[in-house]
Amino acid sequence: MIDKQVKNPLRLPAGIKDYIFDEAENHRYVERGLTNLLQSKGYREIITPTFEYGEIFEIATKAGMIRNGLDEKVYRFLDRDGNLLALRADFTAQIARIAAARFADFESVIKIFYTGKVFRAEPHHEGRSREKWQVGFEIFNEATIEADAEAIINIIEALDYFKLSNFRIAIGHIGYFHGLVEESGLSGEERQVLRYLVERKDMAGIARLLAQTTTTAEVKKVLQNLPDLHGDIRILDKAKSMINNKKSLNALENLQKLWQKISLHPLAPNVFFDLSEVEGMGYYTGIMLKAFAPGVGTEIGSGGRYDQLTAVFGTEMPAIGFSFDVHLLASARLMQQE
Amino acid sequence: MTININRTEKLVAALPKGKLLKPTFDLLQKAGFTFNEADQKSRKLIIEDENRAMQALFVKPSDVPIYVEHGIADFGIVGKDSLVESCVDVFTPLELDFGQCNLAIAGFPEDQDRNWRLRSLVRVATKYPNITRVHFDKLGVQAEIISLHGSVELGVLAGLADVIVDIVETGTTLKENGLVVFDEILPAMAMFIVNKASHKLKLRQLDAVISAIANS
Repeated sequence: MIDKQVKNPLRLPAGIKDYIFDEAENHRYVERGLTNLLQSKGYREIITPTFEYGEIFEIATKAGMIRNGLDEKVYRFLDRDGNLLALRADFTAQIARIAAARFADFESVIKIFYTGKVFRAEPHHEGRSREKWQVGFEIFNEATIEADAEAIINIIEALDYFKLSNFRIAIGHIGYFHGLVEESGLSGEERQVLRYLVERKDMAGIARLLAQTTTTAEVKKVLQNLPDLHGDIRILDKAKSMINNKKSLNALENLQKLWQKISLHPLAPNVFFDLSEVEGMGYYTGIMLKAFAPGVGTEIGSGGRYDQLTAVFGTEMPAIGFSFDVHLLASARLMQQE
Repeated sequence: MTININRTEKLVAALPKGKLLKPTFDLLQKAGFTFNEADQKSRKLIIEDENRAMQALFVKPSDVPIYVEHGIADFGIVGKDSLVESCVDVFTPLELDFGQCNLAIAGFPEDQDRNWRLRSLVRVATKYPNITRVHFDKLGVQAEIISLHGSVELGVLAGLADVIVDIVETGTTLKENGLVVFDEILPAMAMFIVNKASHKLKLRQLDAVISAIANS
């Protein structure tokens, strides 16, 4: 057995790293590239605290009202007065708190960015980072397709800045999925199972679940085909022809209008639609975004529209945000250069 | 850890060494990827198909999920038992029609009669500690999980454990050693799994393989 009694002052907890010289420079280069780009576009910085009261991450999780597991990954500890504190587990939750507290009477658009680390208790055996370095931006007070388009253009320009050829941005819309499940009449528990199965594109699992439910043949057919509903703009017309519930149709029409706003950008062909992308933070209410780059086996950034999150802190403000993973972007840059 | 993905335009597959390998090659052939017989039987760890459109890595079955989650392989073929045990975050679009078996709890017949669930602590020998932990938690039975790497039946026969959790195909090994199945935990079969980023970055190639297999 490996002796755990002997203290080793050189060891590090799993999922934590040191960045030395070249690697530190590469990470700072990515961080500065992103923050400079956002600053040049009129975004202003917010520096949030490293720890605060634990409730805000619970509130943010509950605002989603669906399973997503963030709440279970928060590092909590007590201060000397017995208050429950938490390390920053998510920037968006903090920014939503700040927006509700500070920007409640602002009517104009507010554009902000942030940089720093979030801390999440990922299972150690899987080798995932428990400290993630993120740079992100948020646009408040603009529930428009223009704001959604601006977010996507920001992502395109950032990835182009780092010369990542063949990057991909996948756009989904949670409203499409919500419309379908509402129409299906599935129970709350069945909806959660369905969402999990769709997240994993588990066609056999979806077929088994649908076989036990009483929803219409039409809805069953769409849900069964959901893992295949991805591709360029044409996929949206195909999806439209398969359904007639208002919520899903609205979502698809919004995506079509969004495409009109971004399609002229020379790198727009790197953007595509994936209606089976239902994974992510539970608080999203509209489009959901993920970015990918060759050489990295997971998304290098994610985000979306969350119009109700600030309401749980007392002020309703529509918002869209996106965050880049600095470490994965830095890795993608190195891969490209090799 | 850096999560690396292969950078070729070619598809990279993680294929399980052992008894799933032959049906896996048959399946890939149906999808248009033929690997020559000599390569299939050689000791090479990486081979290419005849059209040089796909690379195949030969991997220990329980390692397939890791190669796919990290994007070293774009997709893999693996038993559902190994997949669930590995807890990886991948897409699982297809269940395949080979490799059927059951993950089951088994032990001495007299223990089944005496109701093993009433023990204060059940000692379980298994190669599947994660699945076993979740299952016994669900039952509300406190279990001491003893991780073994082979012949878990021996664990019970030799008195190391009260029951085992293991794969049962024909049940011959159990019968020859006087053991019986108490309960089935997970029906398993070979699965087609896909890396989440590859699904976006090599969308067209992967879609073609998936639909060729689904329609075969």
